[in-house]
Amino acid sequence: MKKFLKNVLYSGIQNRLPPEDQIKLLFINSIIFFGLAVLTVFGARDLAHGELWLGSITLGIAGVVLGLYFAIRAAKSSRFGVWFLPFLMFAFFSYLTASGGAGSTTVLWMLTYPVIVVFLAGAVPGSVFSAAFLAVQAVLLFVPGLSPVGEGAVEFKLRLLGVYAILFTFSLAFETIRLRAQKELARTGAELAAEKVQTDGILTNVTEGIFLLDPTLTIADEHSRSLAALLQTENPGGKSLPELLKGRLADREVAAASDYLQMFFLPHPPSHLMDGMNPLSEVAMASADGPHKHLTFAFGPVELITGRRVLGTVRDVTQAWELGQKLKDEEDRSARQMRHLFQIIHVKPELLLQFLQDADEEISAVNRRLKDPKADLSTLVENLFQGVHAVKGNAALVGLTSFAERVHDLETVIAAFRGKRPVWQDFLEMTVQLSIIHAELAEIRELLDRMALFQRGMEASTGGKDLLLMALEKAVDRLGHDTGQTVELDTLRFPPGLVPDRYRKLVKDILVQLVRNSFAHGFEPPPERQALGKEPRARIRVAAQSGEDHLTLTYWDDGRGFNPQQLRSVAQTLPSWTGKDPSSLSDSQALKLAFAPGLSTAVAGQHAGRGVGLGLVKDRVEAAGGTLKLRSAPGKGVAFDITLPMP
Amino acid sequence: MNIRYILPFIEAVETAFNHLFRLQPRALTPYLVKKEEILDWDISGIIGIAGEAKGVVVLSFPAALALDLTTILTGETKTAIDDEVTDAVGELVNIVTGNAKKGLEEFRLLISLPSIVQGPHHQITWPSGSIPIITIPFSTTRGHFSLSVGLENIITI
Repeated sequence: MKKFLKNVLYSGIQNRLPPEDQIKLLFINSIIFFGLAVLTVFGARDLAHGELWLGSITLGIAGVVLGLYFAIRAAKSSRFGVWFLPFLMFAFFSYLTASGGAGSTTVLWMLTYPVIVVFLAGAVPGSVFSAAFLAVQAVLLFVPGLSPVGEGAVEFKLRLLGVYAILFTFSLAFETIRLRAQKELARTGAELAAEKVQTDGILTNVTEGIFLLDPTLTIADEHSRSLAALLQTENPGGKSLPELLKGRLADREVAAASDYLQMFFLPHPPSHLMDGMNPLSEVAMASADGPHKHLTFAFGPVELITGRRVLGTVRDVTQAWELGQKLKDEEDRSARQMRHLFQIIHVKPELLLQFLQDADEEISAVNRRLKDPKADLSTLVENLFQGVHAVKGNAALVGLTSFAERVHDLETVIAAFRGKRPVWQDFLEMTVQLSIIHAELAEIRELLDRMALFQRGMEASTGGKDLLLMALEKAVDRLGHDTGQTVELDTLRFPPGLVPDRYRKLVKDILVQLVRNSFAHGFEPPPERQALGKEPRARIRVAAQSGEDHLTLTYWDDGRGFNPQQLRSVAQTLPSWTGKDPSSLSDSQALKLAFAPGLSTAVAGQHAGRGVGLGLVKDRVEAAGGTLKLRSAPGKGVAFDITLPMP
Repeated sequence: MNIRYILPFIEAVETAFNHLFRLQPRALTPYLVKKEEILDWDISGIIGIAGEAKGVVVLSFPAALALDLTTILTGETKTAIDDEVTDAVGELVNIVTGNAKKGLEEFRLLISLPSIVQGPHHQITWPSGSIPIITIPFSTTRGHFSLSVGLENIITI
């Protein structure tokens, strides 16, 4: 119904016209319908009163008016009515003046003419119409016999025309003011529109997210289009910024951002401090589909008519961050190489080469076990761990501390898989770690090769000294340096060259582990030693003896020895002892616990605490077909007797 | 080398073998490969990777398995490696690469189209520098094959 009325009143062309013409059309159509109704009623009444002539003309005009309505609809233009109506009314009102109508009052209709015409046709054509109409009315009124209106009453006619003139003047004045105001409005509107186009252009195309925050930290509706993509939210307008960040940044960061932004709304924010305090100056934002985005936010206060707001900008700096990260990785890498290099030049070349060869052998041995499809998985983890541990120990002893630290980290990763039933993925992870160590060893080797280019005398002779003893001395020196313990190494009964080549690495590994064990567990600090009546300087003695079909090694230190009670209590924490009670073990049985894998009485560090050392010694001795015996004198020291078969 | 770059390839291999050949390959314990090591395989598909990690992923087959797989695909009994076998392996590696891409979407990685090398005991030229390389052997009821990965992290996450 409403639609139908609208359609009738606007001739169905409302949407095609500018607002001003819409109003005119509405006015024209209203006049048409009003006129139609009035004319029909009056026409019918005239006919009923027997005034045939007047009645027919009135109804005839009603017909013309109706025709006009359909003409406007058909032409789909209001211009038609705008120009036709003044003529029609001109003729009709003149006729009303001339005829006088009932009681000569129809003459009053003429007063509406200037108002309507000026409105419809505009100021200038309206003035012409009005002036012409006035002239015609004057003639009709004052030439005797033309109109029955106000016979002889000159004052009435003059006042009528006077009122007409005033209405005309005011219509004209009003129309002029209206036109001027409209023009002004249109100009401001156009300027605003042009500015809006520019602002929209900027907000649509700028790659930064630009937005305003009100005191509740809600994002205003007008923001740059990029903001949606940057914040990964379809319509950020009207939403709270801290709410949007929640879940994508750490809770702590969101809380800090919220506090920070609220500070802008304090009566006097500490403006010179604000930039430095921004918690969102660089943040990594979690993203639903893909890696983190790195964003940088900047905020500043702006004073608007509606009060203070915070102007925020946000940029995606992921690429810059990645580039920086790449650079940092490169720098780390060269720093690491530099450290390697620095340490390498402090290591005796022959020891270093030996180390690399040993490490390579160690890793190859582990790799052979990995390749074996029949290998038991739990043993494999232990193999892997022992291999990495041995490489770490050797690296630390030879002086490649930074490399040893790296291996220690990787060892920690592998350590996590010990004791639990490993699955295939665990091995993937461990093998990847092993491959990284392997690659770093290759890196060291490459460095060495490059250095060898500078100094060809790298493969220097051993100078007649036993490499094994050199390694041992080095180990004692280094551990002594690291722990602050002075130790005397007695190798008098260890004849150089006695250990055959195929046992060289095994014996070295065993002795190195035992030395580490002495430092980690055996030696008391010097003051304690003095209190016990011992020499402050600790002692280690190694001896080797070759029999007919075997090689005997003895290792002895004068530390505190093994404490069976402590071993028992630590054993209780091992998974393999869960549910069993080690406290019933005899002292000599308890001593054997020292070789249990995973058992350690120290906190894990670079030199001890993994519970691998003695286990490794025992495994390797037994793998070589040898035997191992431990003698311990609590408070006095320990001795290891190792026998290896000789062919 | 990040394990998360490798897992999608393993899954893709399993899916592809399951769909194409109704085989359930079983991954065995992975091991290290040296750069200069010559692989004991007859035909390999090589996929290059660049972006936050760089390197190559290689799928290698012994001749017998490659022939077997081609026979399943084409219905023709194959006795020697010919163009058709190379094409079949190429297609398989293509499918594996395509599947793996889906699993790698969250990383900034570029994955090349695979290329095929063949010949007994061929050697793979790994990227220069000391990069870690590992091989994951797979066993199926029709024979072994392997997936080798040599990747260097450019950006650590």
